[in-house]
Amino acid sequence: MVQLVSLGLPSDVACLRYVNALASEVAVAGGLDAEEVDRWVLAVGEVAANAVLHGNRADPGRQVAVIFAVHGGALQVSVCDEGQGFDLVQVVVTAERRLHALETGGRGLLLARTCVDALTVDRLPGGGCCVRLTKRLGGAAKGGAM
Amino acid sequence: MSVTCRQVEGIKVVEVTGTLDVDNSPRIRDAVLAELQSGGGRLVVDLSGVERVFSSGLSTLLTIHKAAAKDGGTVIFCGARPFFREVLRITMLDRVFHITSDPEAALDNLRAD
Repeated sequence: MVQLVSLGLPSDVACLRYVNALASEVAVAGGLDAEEVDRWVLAVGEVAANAVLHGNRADPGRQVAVIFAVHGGALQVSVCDEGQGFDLVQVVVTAERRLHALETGGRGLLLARTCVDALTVDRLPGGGCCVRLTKRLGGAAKGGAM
Repeated sequence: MSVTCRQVEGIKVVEVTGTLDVDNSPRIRDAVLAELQSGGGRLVVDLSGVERVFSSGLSTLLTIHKAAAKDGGTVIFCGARPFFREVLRITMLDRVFHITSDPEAALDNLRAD
């Protein structure tokens, strides 16, 4: 694994623009085309917003760590917060119900999952949660129906 | 991020630019809802200047759509870029919103009502 860049930020939604800008730069440098860059930035932005708002409950005293890397021909990002973590299956089931009920909110992780090749959630032993996104470089996944 | 409004034959056309994210969405929502109210429930929202959209931005558009529908009004979203259109399709909001390719088509639809 080659770590490209990492940053730590307070849980402030105003800081998310820096994560999105960095996600875009990393994807362009990795050779993704414009369409795939858009998908990657959307996925990273959704997961980072989730970490700030839900993981850390927008507490500026809590940090979010974002680590970009290349591993096995794929771009990866790990977004880690200080929250309790979540059950991905449960979140997706709830989100799909909200989607069909036309409720606002709940679309972020569904979108993120659609825009990358893999999305995994790890609860850390000492507390905290890391969401990892993986997107293949060269022949990246296309977005599709959920 | 900016929200500007012009009037075409008595119909308000609101142009939104920038990023529809969790940081900007509340301001965009409030500004567009104010134009909806003063525009008599008919509004065109031109999204051609939106560079990126996130789920919080989609929630904002849904809030605006619901606010108009609740009072018997109509909001037409137009000009969304191809990836924006794809995001609307993925989230099935393209089946809910009134969407046209450009402001002219949106105005034609509202005039026909």
